[in-house]
Amino acid sequence: MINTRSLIYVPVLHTQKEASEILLSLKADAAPLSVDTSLAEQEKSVKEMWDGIREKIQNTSISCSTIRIYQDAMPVCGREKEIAEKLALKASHNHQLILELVKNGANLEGTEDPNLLIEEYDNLSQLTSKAAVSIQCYRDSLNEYKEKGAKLMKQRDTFIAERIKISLKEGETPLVFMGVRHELEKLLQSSFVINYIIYRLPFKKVRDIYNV
Amino acid sequence: MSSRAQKPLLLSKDFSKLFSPIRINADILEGDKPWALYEFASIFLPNMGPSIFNLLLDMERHSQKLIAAIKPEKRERLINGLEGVTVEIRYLIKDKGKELVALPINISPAEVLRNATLAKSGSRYTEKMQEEINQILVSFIKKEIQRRIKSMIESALKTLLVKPKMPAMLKKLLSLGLVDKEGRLAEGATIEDLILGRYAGLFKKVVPEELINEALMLKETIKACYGWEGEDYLSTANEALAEKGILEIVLGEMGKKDAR
Repeated sequence: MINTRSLIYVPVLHTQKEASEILLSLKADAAPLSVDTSLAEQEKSVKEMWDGIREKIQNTSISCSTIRIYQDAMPVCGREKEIAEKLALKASHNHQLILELVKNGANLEGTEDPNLLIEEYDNLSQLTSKAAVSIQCYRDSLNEYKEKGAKLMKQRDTFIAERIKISLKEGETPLVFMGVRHELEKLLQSSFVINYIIYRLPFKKVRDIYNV
Repeated sequence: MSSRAQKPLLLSKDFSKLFSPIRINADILEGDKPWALYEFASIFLPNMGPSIFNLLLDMERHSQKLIAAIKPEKRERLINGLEGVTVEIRYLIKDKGKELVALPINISPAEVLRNATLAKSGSRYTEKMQEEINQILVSFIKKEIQRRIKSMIESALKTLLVKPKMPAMLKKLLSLGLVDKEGRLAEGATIEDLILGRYAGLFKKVVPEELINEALMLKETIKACYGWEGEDYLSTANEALAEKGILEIVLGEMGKKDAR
């Protein structure tokens, strides 16, 4: 039987500004590589992007209490809310929005396999250590990372898809925040009607277009 | 560079080099049709894409099982016997008789059996085809954005054309034939033309700043959502740094990192 439950999918992007704030909150020597774009402009764009996503979620008219949130890099560990709070304090708009939704009754679900996240962290550490050496060194490392990363990403996506299917309760709508490198939708489209919320598309009402 | 950052193959006119068989005639995607069609497909044919993929995948998986049970000599004879035979399935969407979207799936049984013999893991269909399906959707979205922005500009131009003092840029575009007397833009004007290209000067003068920002952001959003890797070294480096930073906080919080 075809399951026609809706799933709301929000592709998440990180910007230099976000990277900067997250990294500077960790340690002083981890400042991101600078680009020409003004940080103030980026900050404005990031804020607008998340305001836009917030508005579109509100426009779906789905009650918060029936929303179950699945978040990129959120491990299944029993401390999901604490992690979201910590990241929200570190200027992550994504996690700030999650906390707002949780405050209004949404459920935050542990989403990822912690062991796979550790593996991802190790891969990213290797990659980013090369970024500071030279562009060529970084590019070589990026190619290596892509090969390893693709396999790992498939494992992560498989775990997440199963997690959503298992943990979602009757009458709930999954709200999925995933980085653009994930291809989770491929694994979910046979079980859900996926409705994308992409910032700034000129739709009057998200429900008019996305049938939610 | 990822193929996602490349110009969508489906929008090119030469379809002969496409690996997957899905084609779209972007030239006749005009007006409300793309979006109406997309909505129709989303509502009434939500599983059309996955069904086709599953059909192809099942065929490949099934063929691997079958081929394993056949003796090598017979297998070779079967492959040779099927050489040159093709099975064609055509899925067409037409607009007043003109082909709008086509999925002419061409299956070569000999090739399928040969792949099964080699026990190739996975399928040659899934990722590439899904990629192109995504590009079709992006093309729908782009067309819709372009249509809406174009329509807003044209309505602004209509107002300007009846004013006694016409902006110099508008006069120039009129003389070049890029805008007609009724305020319509030349056929085929793209988002790039409007924001950065031949209409950019006019665009800045007659269109509210808010709309320019909106258009630029739409462009960036599409670029970012569908071509994140691109060639921008700094962006990918910062993306990786941000992800690493988030994971560092996450793992630190759950105590895993220190316990390793």
